[in-house]
Formats: sequence, C-alpha cells, structure tokens
Amino acid sequence: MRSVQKLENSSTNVVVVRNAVKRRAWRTPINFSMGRGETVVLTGPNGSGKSTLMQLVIGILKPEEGEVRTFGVDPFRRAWVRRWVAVAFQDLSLEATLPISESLGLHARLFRGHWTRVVELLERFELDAGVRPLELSGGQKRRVELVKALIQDAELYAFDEPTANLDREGTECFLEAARVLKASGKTMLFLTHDPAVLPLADREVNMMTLKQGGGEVEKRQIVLELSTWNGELDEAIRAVPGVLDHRVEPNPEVLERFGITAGMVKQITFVKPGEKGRLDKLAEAGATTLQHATLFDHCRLRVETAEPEGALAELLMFLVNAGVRVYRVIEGP
Amino acid sequence: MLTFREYLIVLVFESRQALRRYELWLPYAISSVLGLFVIAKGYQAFGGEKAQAFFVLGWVPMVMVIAGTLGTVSAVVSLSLGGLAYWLSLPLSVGQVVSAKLLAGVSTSLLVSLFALSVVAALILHDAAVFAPSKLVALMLLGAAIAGLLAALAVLVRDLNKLSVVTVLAGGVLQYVSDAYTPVLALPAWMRPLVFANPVSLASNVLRTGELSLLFYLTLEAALFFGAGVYALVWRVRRQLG
Repeated sequence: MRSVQKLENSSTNVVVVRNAVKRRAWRTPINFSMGRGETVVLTGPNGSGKSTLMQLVIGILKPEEGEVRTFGVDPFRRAWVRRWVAVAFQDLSLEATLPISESLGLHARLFRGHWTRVVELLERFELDAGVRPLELSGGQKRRVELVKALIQDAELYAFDEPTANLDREGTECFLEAARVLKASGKTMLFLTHDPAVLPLADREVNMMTLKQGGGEVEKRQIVLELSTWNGELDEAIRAVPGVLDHRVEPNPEVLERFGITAGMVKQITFVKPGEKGRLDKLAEAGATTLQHATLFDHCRLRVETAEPEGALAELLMFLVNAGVRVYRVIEGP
Repeated sequence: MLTFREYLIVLVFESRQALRRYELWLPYAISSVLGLFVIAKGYQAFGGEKAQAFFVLGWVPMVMVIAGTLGTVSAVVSLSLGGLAYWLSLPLSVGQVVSAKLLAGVSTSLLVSLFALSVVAALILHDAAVFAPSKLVALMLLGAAIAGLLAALAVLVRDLNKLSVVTVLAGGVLQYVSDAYTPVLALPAWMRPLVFANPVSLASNVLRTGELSLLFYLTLEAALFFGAGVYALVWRVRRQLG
C-alpha cells in the first residue's frame, strides 16, 4: 500500500513515451502519454506496432532510442513497477498444458488477488476452472486471458485486442468489467479495432498518426466506387484501422435527376427512423434537404489515410464483411 | 524495490511443476538406482568395502549430471519457444525469470540424487552420515553448477533440435573427466587438472571426506557457472525479443 501511495505522489502521467524508436516496428521517434484515470484506445492497421508500443509501456521491451516511463520509472529496468500493471495479451499467455485454475491461482498469489475473485470471474466469463488451454476454443482462451488481467487490482490495465474472437455475451461481459474499472478511476489502454470498445475511450490514438509524428500527418486519399452505403456503415468505418477521415458522395446520376451537381452537396446526414426532427432542424436552418432510396446506390467513398496500402487492405476487408460490393478503386495506392 | 516474494512464489511454482513432470526424471531415477545397486556389488566383489564406498559416493553426484541435463534442457527450451510473455509481464526481471526456471530444473536433479543417496544409506553403506548438511549443500551446489554450465553452453546452439549435441558432450566430460568412478591417481597426468576442477569431482570428494575447503571451491564454481548460465540465457531471451 505504501508503494502505491508513493507512485501516486510521484507522477501525474501514468505513461510517458518520449521520442521512442523500436526499429522492428517504427524508425521515427514517437511520443505518447496517458494521464491517470484516462482510457485510451490505440488503433492502427495490423503490424503497425500497437503491441510493440504496449510491450514498451509494460517494460517487456526497451526502446533503442528515447525513453519510456511508467509510473515515473523505466519499466524495463524496474520490473517491480509491473505490480501495478495488468496485461491481457493478444494470445493466451498462460501455460497451455496446466489447468487454468493452477495458472490463475499462481497469478492471484503473485498479485495478492483473492481466490474468491478468481472464482467469481470464472463464473462470470463462464469458464471451467479444471480445463487446460489446449482444450479451449479461441474465444474461451481470450476469456481466460481477460480473467487473468481482471484478477489484479492494478492501476494500469493494458488490453491487446480484448474482444477479438469473443461472442456478443463475452464482449458485453468484458465491457461491463471495463466500465467498472473506468468508474473506479483506473487507467486503461486498449489496442483494438472493435467499435464496441470506442465508447469507453476518453481518447482515440491512431498508431499511424503517432508514427508520423503526432498530428503532422501527410494525408493521402483513397476513392472507391461502392454498391451501397448507409448510416451504420458510416459509424463503423471510423474504427477501420488507418482511416483518418472519410466522406461519402451520392450517386451523381441520381443527383443529376434532381438537378443537383456534386459540388452543391454540403453535408450528408444519416437519419434513423425515429430522428426525423434532425431533418426538420436542418430545414429550419435554411438547408435544402434531399431524401431518396437510391441516393447511395453506386456511390463514392473518399477516405483519408496516412498509410494507403495498409488502410486499403483493412477497408476492403471491412466492406466485404459488411456485404458492400467494391466496383473499383478510383484513386489509391 | 525488491521482488523476493514474487521470485519465491515463481520458484516454488516452477519447481513443483518440474517435479510433477515425472516422465522426465522418474525412469532415470529408477534406472540409475538399479545401476548403482548392481555395480556397487561388483566393486565390493572385486575391491572390497572401501572400493564400494568410493564408487557409490561418486555415483550420486554423477547421477546429477544426467538429471541436471534433463532439467536444464527443459528450462532452456521453455525459455526459447515463446510463452515468455506471461513471465516477462510479472514484476520480475528477465534474470529472475531465467534463474527461477533453471533452479526449478535443479530441483529435479536434486530429487534424483537424494533418491540415490537414500539407497546408498539404506541398502549399501548402511550409514545415515551421508545425509550430513555439508554433503547435501554440496549436492545443491553441484546442481546449480551443472545447470549453469549447460545453460551457458546451450546458448551456443542456435537450433534447439541440436541442443543435445552440446548437453550430451558436456555431460559426458563432466561425468567421465572426474574421479567419480576412478581415483584421480589412476588417470593420466594431463587429465588431472581437469578432474580437480570438475565440480562433479569436488562434490564426490565432499561426499567421501566431508572436507569443507572443497565445499568452498564448489561454491565458487557454482556461483561462477550459474551466473554465466543466467547471463547467457538472459542474453538469448533479450535477443529473441528483439
């Protein structure tokens, strides 16, 4: 307890990464910090270095240049600082051949967790204490890894792809636990592509933006011709790794039928059935509004990105999963 | 800030896991005791009680070499084939993780040697003095020295499938370039410095004579070899992590 007090007194930022270079993931210095009690979602394409950054923060790796401070100390040299850090890795990190009760029991002993807490979490995540990881599905392994982190009463929680492979119940169970942690003022770092996690975030940081030196990113554009578009896709595309900004343009032929040119369109607003009031407000503000069922058939999507190759791959995967046909890539890498 | 508590928890856990892997050490423990019993009878028949006592007290440290090889190989393999993320996310340095895993390997070789020592005390020499504290300390030190030496050499091998090339060769030298079976004076003169320096010889002679000065040299060797083994494995782990 005395040590926790010491940590609280000595640092305002829980994590500070200053001019760090880790050549296997990035070669230009990056800067990153997390304030006490802050929840940060770190996004970015696969292989962009998110997990590497997390491993720097918890002290598994050390940067070749620059410095990392977690609770004010170098976590690579001062291993004891990890007493206040809980980590859920992307893959299950526990011994594959041991019953999870044994591995989690060890973890609880190491971090002064109570066995009752382990049992409670196992029940909540619907896991059997006697099984071995070898016998578990991908989603169950993810649950075990999350339980491992949640056993700890840590100050900083780092979750690498926490909802990957989880079903809806598992995701909701985890999000509920994360909401409790957030409410109790814990600092949390999420590495994820999942839009379900975004509402928890106080701040979303894109790894590509970090690698480009903060906000000074050279943006590139990708333009795709798509079969359709809707409000849900418009929400979800924000979580696609590498996408910094986007804009959808209605089918110009449909617009032409109404005597409108593409340049005349000032804003696209997707309105849900119960939100008609929003349209009325726009009309009251003097805007001419246009609603038509085929407005987004054969539309164009303009995406701004810092890394066109990676973003296009992620984007195509997102569109295929959403059932949207891509007719062609008009501009891009 | 020290992390002894976490280190001890991991050490106990890993040692328990190593001992539970009976398939690794139990067959060897049984066969080595069988060999000990039968060959001891042969020494007694050809050389009498004194020759028999010389042999059996050399056999016990020798047993540790093979058992130690098994323990060290499994420690090196577990540190090399991924699965490290968990251990390195604990409040322990890489050196502490490595040394806990190596010492867990030592626990199996210690168990096997204690099994052999019990047979010596109960069935061959009929003397409980073999369990004197200095002799038990010698066995512990020998275990640490063997684990460290083999771990340090294992780092020279890039391909883990070829680990046995180093461990079997080094194990052979440790076993046979010693006075575990043969009095040093019966060996060629060029071999004797190596025999004297061999930790297996030192431990054998502590068991035979209880001489504390030998224990001192054995302590130095154990510290040197174990330190080298931990250093080498830490280097390998860090290199592996990138």
